[in-house]
Amino acid sequence: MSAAAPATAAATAVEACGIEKSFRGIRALRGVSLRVAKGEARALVGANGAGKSTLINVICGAVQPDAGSLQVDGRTVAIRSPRTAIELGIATVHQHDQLVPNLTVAQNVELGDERSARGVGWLTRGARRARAALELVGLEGRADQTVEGMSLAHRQLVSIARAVSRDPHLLILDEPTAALTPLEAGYLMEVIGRLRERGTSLLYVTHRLQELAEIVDWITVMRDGEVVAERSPAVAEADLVELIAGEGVAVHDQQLAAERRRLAGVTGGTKLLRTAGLVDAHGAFRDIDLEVRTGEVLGVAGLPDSGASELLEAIAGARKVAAGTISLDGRALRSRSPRAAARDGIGYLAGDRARRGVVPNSDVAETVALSALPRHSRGGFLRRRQIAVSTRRRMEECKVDPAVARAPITTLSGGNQQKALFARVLANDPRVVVCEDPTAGIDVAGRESIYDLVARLCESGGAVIWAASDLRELVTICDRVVVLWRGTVVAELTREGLDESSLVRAQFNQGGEQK
Amino acid sequence: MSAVAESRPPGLGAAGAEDPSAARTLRERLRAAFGGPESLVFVVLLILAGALSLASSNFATEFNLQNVGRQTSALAVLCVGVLFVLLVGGIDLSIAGVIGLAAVIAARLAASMSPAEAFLIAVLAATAVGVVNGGLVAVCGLSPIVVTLAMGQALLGVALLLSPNGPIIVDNPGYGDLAASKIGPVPTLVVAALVCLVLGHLLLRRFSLGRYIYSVGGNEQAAWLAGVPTRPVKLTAYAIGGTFAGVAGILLSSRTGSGEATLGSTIMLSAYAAAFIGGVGFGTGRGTVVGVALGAVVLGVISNGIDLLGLNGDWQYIVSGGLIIFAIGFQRAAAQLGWGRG
Repeated sequence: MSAAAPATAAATAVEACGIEKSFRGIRALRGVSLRVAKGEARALVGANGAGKSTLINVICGAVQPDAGSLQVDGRTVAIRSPRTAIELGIATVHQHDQLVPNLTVAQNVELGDERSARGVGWLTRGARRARAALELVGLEGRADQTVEGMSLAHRQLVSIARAVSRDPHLLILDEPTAALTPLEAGYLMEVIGRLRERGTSLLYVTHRLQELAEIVDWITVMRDGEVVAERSPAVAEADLVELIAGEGVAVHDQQLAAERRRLAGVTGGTKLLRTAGLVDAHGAFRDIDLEVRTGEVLGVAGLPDSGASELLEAIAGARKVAAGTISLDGRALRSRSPRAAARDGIGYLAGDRARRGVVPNSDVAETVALSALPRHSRGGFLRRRQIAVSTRRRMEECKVDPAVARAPITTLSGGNQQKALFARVLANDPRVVVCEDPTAGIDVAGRESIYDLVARLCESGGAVIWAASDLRELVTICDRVVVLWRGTVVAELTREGLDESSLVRAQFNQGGEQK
Repeated sequence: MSAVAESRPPGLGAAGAEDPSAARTLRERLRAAFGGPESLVFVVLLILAGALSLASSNFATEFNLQNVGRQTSALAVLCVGVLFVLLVGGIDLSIAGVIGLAAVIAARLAASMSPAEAFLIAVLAATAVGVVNGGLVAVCGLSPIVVTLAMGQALLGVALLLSPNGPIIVDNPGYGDLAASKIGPVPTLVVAALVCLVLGHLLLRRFSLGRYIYSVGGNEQAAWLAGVPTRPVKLTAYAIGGTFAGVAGILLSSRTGSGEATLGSTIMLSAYAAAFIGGVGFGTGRGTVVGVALGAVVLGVISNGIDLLGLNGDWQYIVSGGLIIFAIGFQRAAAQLGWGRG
């Protein structure tokens, strides 16, 4: 099969042409074209933010493209909803499954399959189809067990069985192995092999490049919202990593480069924050030893399942650790909550602004003041003048227009919301700010202000721990980046060795300085 | 934030809100001043009062208004407690039981001590119930509906056991003074309710607790990550809810001069009705003391109006039910039109 070039006449299962999609003015997809031939298995790879998920969402109907067309089985179609996609024979197994926990495996597989609801014999027909699908994934013995309490790997298999039971033209698998152990992933590969023997077309999104050679015919590489290459699985892994990271980055980000130059002037301070032997209570990371100096921006990088964001949560007091210590200025902290961490001098700007940052029923001034209320009240009674003065100062510092002080926080743009949240963190005068993807979904001006704030914090003897999926950003603003892979630090890149391709390599645990 | 006008930011889109130089049209100014649910209730109240004054010459008399005040005061106090619990995203269905318990305790104790002491102990018992509710919900993570429903059921049993011979008739002559007396032309009950309202308002507006309560109701996880002690805040909200229910219980008990276990059975739903009419959101962390107080007065006036017009008193439930649906429908419409916090 791998002999067929992507553009040849083999019948097409699904083809996307010139797909464009922007979110709040940020172009996630810039004219992407992708074709999956019948019976073909194609991998879609790329760094975080390359546009893979958006493309998948367009194909499975969860997101409507701004421009471009989709063809299924040679017909141009408009996929207005996930339901349309399913009717057209596009089945998607999302990274986070959509199973109903209190139903059995078989019931979950049959759920929503309307073809089986017609006629008298519907029960047996649906059951037969479900049974066949379960045999394919090797779960026929558990058909009557409820999904609740099953391991992620098993749930993943149930989801695949559900998708397969509809006899799809195209099966999309979105990072199916991300949360699995190597053994489980190996079994999943076997199942995928069986699917291939059946002739199901596959679109397979993954971060684990090692998996690809055995299971796909073609690899499509995306970067910055574009398809940058198509390769056969025979491609050397190192080349693939280069393609994912991109070369000759220089053009685009003078802004970041300038930022780095500015930050370069203020490093080399004294030890500020230190973690020793930090072990997560739920196994997300272990044995983490970090050291952050005053004036330093420490980057933390890693794939979604690497434990990087969990590590940040733990440092910020928002996650329990089973062992190890966090110390600030040589003093061991026992921060059991974000509140305690804030009191100890660690500020936290959580990722996922809408869900974990913004309190939607408050206005901008209330947002900025929220974290610092303990220092602006006596016996619980608010010192309102003090709050007003402090809030105003923080807003000015963070370039939030004072005129919006009484506007609901939700009416602000993403960038301005983020600045207000940064102001909220700074209101406690933290020594260390821990932030997670603080510039996600923010326009250029907003980013600029956030970088400014980081620079100022470092100049005044603070430090920043910065996790981001945008590697270019990490490379540019961080003095040092530690890379996590499956819960441990696998590389530490300092200025000299810090570039995007080495970061990508380290994220995939490919060489780099082993610790 | 206390005045309605102040809590109404301009209902502009993102771009407008960030650009103060953008001219505000008259419509936007009006929205800013009058778009809130509180002002809608106020208008409803004015219309009701106007209509009743025209329909019945007995409405706008000193005697009748004092009567409305007496009838509404316990409801208004109860509403404040309900507000606190709703604001943290919870619900307290035990308040009917708490009212009965407080009334029975006060009535029993009034036989052997001064009414003031009896009232105090009854209210403290109600607070304790609130603390237990809050502990089960906030610390143990149990479902508020189930926990407080069960608690209400259990309290009804306790109150019935404490009054084995039916309602306890209090023969302490001071017991009914709270309900019967007046301060100037204003019934003491109304003064007591006003004190509770002001207290609730201050707690929400002038204390960090209030800010925390709103933030927990708006987005509990974000609030926790921002350093809000979410569990203690929720527990306190339930404790305050229980306390105000206890106060409502003794106000009602003083009016009837007795301690009855089932005293709170109908007023509980009225309190939720008043809260929703007054613009409190369910699980959104929105709502004000001003709003729920106005909601309570609207219900009081409706019930009074139905009496004055000689209609069957049971109509009041149908009217208040319809009013709730109208109120939340209006809120939704306002939200869809982009009226910010509408």
